[in-house]
This record gives sequence, C-alpha cells and structure tokens, in this order.
Amino acid sequence: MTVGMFAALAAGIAIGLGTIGTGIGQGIAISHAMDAMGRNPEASGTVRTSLLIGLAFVESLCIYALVIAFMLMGKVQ
Amino acid sequence: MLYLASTTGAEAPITEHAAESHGYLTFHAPDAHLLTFIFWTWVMMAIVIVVAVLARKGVGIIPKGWAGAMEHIYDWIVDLSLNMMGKEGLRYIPFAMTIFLFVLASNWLALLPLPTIHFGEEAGAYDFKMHVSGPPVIGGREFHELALEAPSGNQNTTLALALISFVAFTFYGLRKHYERARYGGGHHHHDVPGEAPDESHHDPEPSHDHPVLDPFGATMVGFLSWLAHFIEPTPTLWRSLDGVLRYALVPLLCILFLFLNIIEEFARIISLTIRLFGNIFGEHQVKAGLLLAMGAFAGLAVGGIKAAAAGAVLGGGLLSVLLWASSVFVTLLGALAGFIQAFIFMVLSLSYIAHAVADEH
Repeated sequence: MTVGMFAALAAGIAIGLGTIGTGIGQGIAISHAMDAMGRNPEASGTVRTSLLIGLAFVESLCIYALVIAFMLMGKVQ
Repeated sequence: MLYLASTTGAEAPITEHAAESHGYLTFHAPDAHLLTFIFWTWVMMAIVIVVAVLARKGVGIIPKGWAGAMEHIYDWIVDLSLNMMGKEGLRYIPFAMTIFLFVLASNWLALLPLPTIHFGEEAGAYDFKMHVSGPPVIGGREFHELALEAPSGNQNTTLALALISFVAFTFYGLRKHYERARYGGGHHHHDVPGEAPDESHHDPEPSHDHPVLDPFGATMVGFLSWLAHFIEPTPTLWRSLDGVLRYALVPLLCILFLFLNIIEEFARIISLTIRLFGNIFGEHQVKAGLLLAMGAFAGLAVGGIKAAAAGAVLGGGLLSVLLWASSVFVTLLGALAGFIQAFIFMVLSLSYIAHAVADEH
C-alpha cells in the first residue's frame, strides 16, 4: 500500500460520506419547505428564497468534500 | 488543474520549475493556464458591458430587447433586497446586480464549448480546448490553443469575488455605523417587507439635515460601535443574566464570542470562494470526464470499422452516443446550477450586508 493508493481510497470515501450527509440534510430541508409552501402558498416566495440560501449552506459542505477529493486525486500516482 | 493539490507531493518540483521558468506571478499555476483564465475574464466582461450598453437603448415605459431582460433581473433583485432589509436594501442593489451579472456571465461562458479534447501529460490536460486558427498573442506570448473556460472555475477568480464582497460588507457596515452616529437613530427603515419602492427611491436615507455629531466624533463613535459588533451577543447576555453568573460567565463568553466572530469573517470568505469554485469546477470535470469516455468509445468504434468488427462498431458507437447525450444533459444541468450559484453568491453577499447594517436592539 502506497500513499497514492490510500489517497485514491480516501478521495472516494471523502466524497461518498460527504454526499450522504448533505443528501439527507437537503432532503429534509426541501421536504419541510414543500410542506410550508403547501400549507401557506402565499408565503412560497419567501420560503423558496430561504430554502435556496439554506441549501447553499448545506451544499457547501459537500463542495468542501469534493474539493478535498480533488486534492487527494492529485496525490494518486 | 487544481494546483492546490500539487503544492506538496511528487509534482511539487515540476510545478515550481514551470512557474519559475515562465517568470510570471503564478500562484502555483503555469502562466499559460492563468493567462487563459484572465483572457476569458476580459472577454466575458466585454460581453457583459456590451449587453448592458445595448440594454440602455431599449429603456422606456415598455422596455424593448435587452432592456426587458435587465429590468426583469433588476425588479427581482429589488424585491429580494426589500424583503431582506426594507428600504435600506435599495442602496445595495447596484453592488448586488453587478455581482450577479458577473458571476452569471462567468458561469455561463463555458456553456458554449467548441470542445476538442486535448490529451496531454500536464496538469489540466482534461479541459475543454478550443482550437483557434492562428496562434493569438497575449502579453507578447503565442498561444497555440486557448481553453474556453469559465472564469469562475478557477479559485483565483472566486477568491477575488469573495474578497470584493468582504470589502463591500465591511465598508457598508462601517458607513452605516458612521451615519447612525452622525444623524442619530437610523430607525426609519422598518418598512413593511415587500412594499413597493416609492418616490424617495433615489434617496432612501432622508432627514440628513440635523446632524447629531460632527464628522470626527461620528467617525470615532461609529468605528467603536462597529468594533462592538465583534462581541455581538454579549450585551444581550449581560442583560438577561444576573448575580454571580453575570460577572463570572459573561466576560469569558465575551472572549469566546470575539474569536468566533473573527473566525466567522474568514469563514465567510472561504466558503464563498470554495462554493462557487467547487461547483463550477466539479461540473466541468464531470463534463470533461463524460466527453473523454465518449472519445474513447468513439475511437473503439472507428477502430472497429477498420478491423471490420461489427460488435465494436455497434457497442462503441452506441455508448459514445449515450455519453454524448448525457454530456448534453450535464451541460443543461450546468446552466441551471450556474444560475443558482450566481443567485446564491448574490443573496449571500446581500445577507452579509444586511447583517452588517442591521440595527442592534
């Protein structure tokens, strides 16, 4: 096992675990936003804006994992 | 392409050598690559300016042409900032719209690829390359090919944008504190969210006739009150606790809040940078990977024609068509993601400004 092999493994694990967490989180957020929009359609504009901002914050965690994965891929020989 | 990765490890000597031999300020990137980004950034800015100038011609009661599109975006941003900050938000629309148009244009620039896939050993070999007829000369240097790349797919561009946003919300916060100190109060922007902008549109800060403090005093007081926001929740905590807890706990928490708030400023810059860059760069890598695989299968099919192997022709051709179709799908998805990322960048900048200029109670 070389550093490169570990790096390849780590890149896969990083992006995999990262997407699991953010996927669940974004799913919960979207589900609740849909509930809110269904119950109160007048507020859907506000809800959509806050939803997108929230999704951006959650998604940035996944993007960090992606960047880390790319950095690790740079070490794969 | 991700030169952060090559700062350590085996490639480091190569990269350093490349950076050194070209003699440019390179930030661990070969100058050709960085110059390509700069070139496309200038092209993109030219496009944005031309569109904006064209939009001026159609301005009227019934907007025509580009003016319609621009006014639509403008109205939408006005609504957004009114929702966020009330009438105060109208002051920050030029900044927000500039950021939005810049990021949107730079995200969408690489959506019209004339991609020929470039195979090579150097870092960044798997980018889209556009072959131009005759080597263009940039900075006295010949380029034999120019990669058509989104400026926001490079961390330098997004870092610059994030720093601009940081400077903006710091400056707006300082200015707001100064104005509040000089003219007192500043409580006249508690409007109903979503209220239509009225005739005081051009001067959303009325009643500047009776200053409370002279400019110097206002600068001092404003700066101090701006500094005070670094220990932000402390005053509330001080009021809500009493007895031993107030004197034992609050000073400790105050130091903690100070560090947290300072870290938050940096975290904002970093997260703005990485979010935009990672999204655009990741999408391009997916597209490049699909097109590379398409090229490989197309090569298999072409080889099958030569060797008269029906299976290779059929399988390779079918797979390459499928991969091409999915790259089209990814491109369309990239258009949507580029729009959403531009929106997110603008909304986050606006919300940081809103936080910086908010009244503390």
